[in-house]
Amino acid sequence: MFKYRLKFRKFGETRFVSHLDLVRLFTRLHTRAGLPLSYSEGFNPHPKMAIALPLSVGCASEGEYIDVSYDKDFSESFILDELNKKAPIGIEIIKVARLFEGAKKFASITAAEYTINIEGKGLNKENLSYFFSRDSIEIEKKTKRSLAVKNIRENIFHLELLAAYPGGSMIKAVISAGNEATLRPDLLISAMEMYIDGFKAQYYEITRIAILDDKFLPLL
Amino acid sequence: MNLDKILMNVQKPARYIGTEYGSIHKNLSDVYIRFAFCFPDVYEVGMSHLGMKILYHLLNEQPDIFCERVFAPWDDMETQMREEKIKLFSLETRSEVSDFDFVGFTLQYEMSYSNIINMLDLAKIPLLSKDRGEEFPLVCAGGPCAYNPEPLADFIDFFMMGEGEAVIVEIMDLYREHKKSGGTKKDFLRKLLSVEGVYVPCFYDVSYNDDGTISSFEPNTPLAPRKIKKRIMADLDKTYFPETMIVPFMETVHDRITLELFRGCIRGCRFCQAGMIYRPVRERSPKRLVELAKKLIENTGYEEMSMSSLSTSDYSQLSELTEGLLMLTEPKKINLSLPSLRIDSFSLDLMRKVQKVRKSGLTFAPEAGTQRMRDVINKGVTEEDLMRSCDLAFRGGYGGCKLYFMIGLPTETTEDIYGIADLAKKVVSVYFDVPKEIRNKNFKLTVSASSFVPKAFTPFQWEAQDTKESLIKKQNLLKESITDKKISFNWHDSSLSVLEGVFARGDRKLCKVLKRAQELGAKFDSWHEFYNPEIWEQAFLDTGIEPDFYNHRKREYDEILPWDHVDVGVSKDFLIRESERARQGLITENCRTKCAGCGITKAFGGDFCV
Repeated sequence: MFKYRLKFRKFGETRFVSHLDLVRLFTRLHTRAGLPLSYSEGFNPHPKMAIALPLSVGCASEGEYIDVSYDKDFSESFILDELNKKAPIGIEIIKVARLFEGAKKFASITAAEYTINIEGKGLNKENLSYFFSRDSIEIEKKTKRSLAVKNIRENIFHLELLAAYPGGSMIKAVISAGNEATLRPDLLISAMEMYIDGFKAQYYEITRIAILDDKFLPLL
Repeated sequence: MNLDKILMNVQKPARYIGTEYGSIHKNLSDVYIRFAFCFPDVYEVGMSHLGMKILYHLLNEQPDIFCERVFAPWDDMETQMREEKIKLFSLETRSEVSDFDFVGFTLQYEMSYSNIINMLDLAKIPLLSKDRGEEFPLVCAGGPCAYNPEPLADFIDFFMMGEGEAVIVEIMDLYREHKKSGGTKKDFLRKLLSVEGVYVPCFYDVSYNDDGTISSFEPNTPLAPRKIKKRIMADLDKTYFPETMIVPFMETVHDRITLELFRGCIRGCRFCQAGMIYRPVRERSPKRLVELAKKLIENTGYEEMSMSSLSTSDYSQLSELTEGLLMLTEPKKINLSLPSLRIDSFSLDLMRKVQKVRKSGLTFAPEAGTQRMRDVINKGVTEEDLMRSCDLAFRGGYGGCKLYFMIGLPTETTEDIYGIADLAKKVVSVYFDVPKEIRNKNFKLTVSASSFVPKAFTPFQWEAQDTKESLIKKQNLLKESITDKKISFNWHDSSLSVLEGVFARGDRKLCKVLKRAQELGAKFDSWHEFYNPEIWEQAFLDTGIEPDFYNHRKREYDEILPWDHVDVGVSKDFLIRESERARQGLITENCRTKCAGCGITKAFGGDFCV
């Protein structure tokens, strides 16, 4: 069996495709591209595939990862070309790497970098850095049974105002992601609305820029 | 456009994006004719429909035509669109539907009619043909329900009768010339009168007798044909079939490749509209089908392929075909599904070969509980047939099955209702007669009873439909007589069947009712969560239309029926003959055993039905 890691972008209207639908999309994409996936053993065999990190419906991404296995050894550039020829609009494979023993595991994912384009007034360099300099940022988190208060300060690694213009702004955020802890970017926005006086996001668009390992480096 | 914002707030936003693999995108400046193909139901239903796939790709083969898809937005989306004043839009370019040359609806079931009106309303296109100025698109419709077009006659500019592959291209050619030379929409509609299979309602006048029946139905221009004859494709091997299909992002109802084996049906069940209107029987050759299957697998990447026809077992070269298909599907781990199969040792063996994993979903359709009733409806199945099939299936390891029946059939008595329960009990005992060691341990029998709705162009088109009260009584009778815990019983909402019956045999007067119902909020009537009988009661009341006139009245053979100006190839004489035979409980043999003289060969030449 030959294992590969694919890095891909998800953009445009295709960002509204859900995580589950994305799995099916990649199965079919491989069939079309003539790259048969390896199947699991057992009563109900399914193709061997794993997506690094779910992406919320509506979020675009510049760097998602999916690990796949083939029974045959294909060249990386061949895989990239063939998949892109048969990919739907809004999905683009940007890198393919053969995975060997000791490759970075998805379990090492620690953080993700996002840019968030915000429509709504009230955000500036000062109040954002004040927010980021707080010792504690508490949000209410709904669980199945109750409302819990959670401190998300340690889940925010970096926060930066990239641009501000009348009626809106763009920020960059590096926040927790992965098995250990995950902070959803929309919760970060809610926290900012709560702590920053006069800030209200009417609408925002999120793009995941990178998925980062425990050394804050991209997986591929 | 603020559509993206809205998509963040609705369920399943993938319903509203048009970037699926296989979707067609064209530069609008290269396009001369724009066609909005509208399916009056939600995306996952519409995207399962084969006819749309065929016509979408067929129209888009022409470089200067751009056909885009439009579906009925789900309730949550509609609310958002109305709030934000967003008009109904196409998926591919998000254009407003009112900007197209044509808005075409496919009519698959009567209960989607309210969605058509609602979609026109969402598009801000005036609902009635007569109110639409030159700035609005031509609104057309086709599909099986177009054979009784009258309940939609005020809304639709023209209808296409029969199979669309040829007629739609002819219409586009005519329109291209018309658009170049200039002229009004009315001019174009007049030109359409020379195209066979096209019905333009505004060129026909209807008058009524005092009792509400039709006294005359006359063309008001000499150019309009008295009879509009449906179109068919003579040779399916030479008929266009797409080599690719759109692969939706989200799961649809039929999320698989559909391979159309043949059109028409040899069986002639008297309740079945499809069995009459899709005649004559025409098959695709196994060679062509395998060729298509290969391309479709390569081009879509689907993991499942389903054969489509009205009765798979009647395909004359089924074993040759499945052998050819299995050679393609097995190495690629593609599931092959064989719906509407008659169960015998051959087909069970076939299913063993084809469906290696799951043993679920066997359905038998005896349709009625007694032999007398089955003879009336010409369902050529005996109790012995059913027991033999069940025995074979249970011995083969199937843990039960689904039995499909209809209640409210003409001449039905309580004995026929009890017959359904008896038949179900007998199936249970067949299971227990199978030795323990070989039968499946989990047994469950599902009995499903839908309410019969008489349809146009069937031998039962003159019959009175059973009333809601009587249907409910029969459902209760059946519920009480099914006591075995191994049997579960399902039934349909009888008031919905009554409404379906009204539109299935309705006339032009119903346009008023439809319009009023939409104003009152009718939509998605085929969905339990939306169907609201009170709205319809109100709409009938407000328009002074009596629904009972349409479904609870027995018609005479010489009454002018609202669909008499449509010629589906099957003659009225044949339908009357079959209606009489039904009353006498006489069965009519299937077309391959003996020609019943339905008139289809006379209508379309003698090469069919062999």
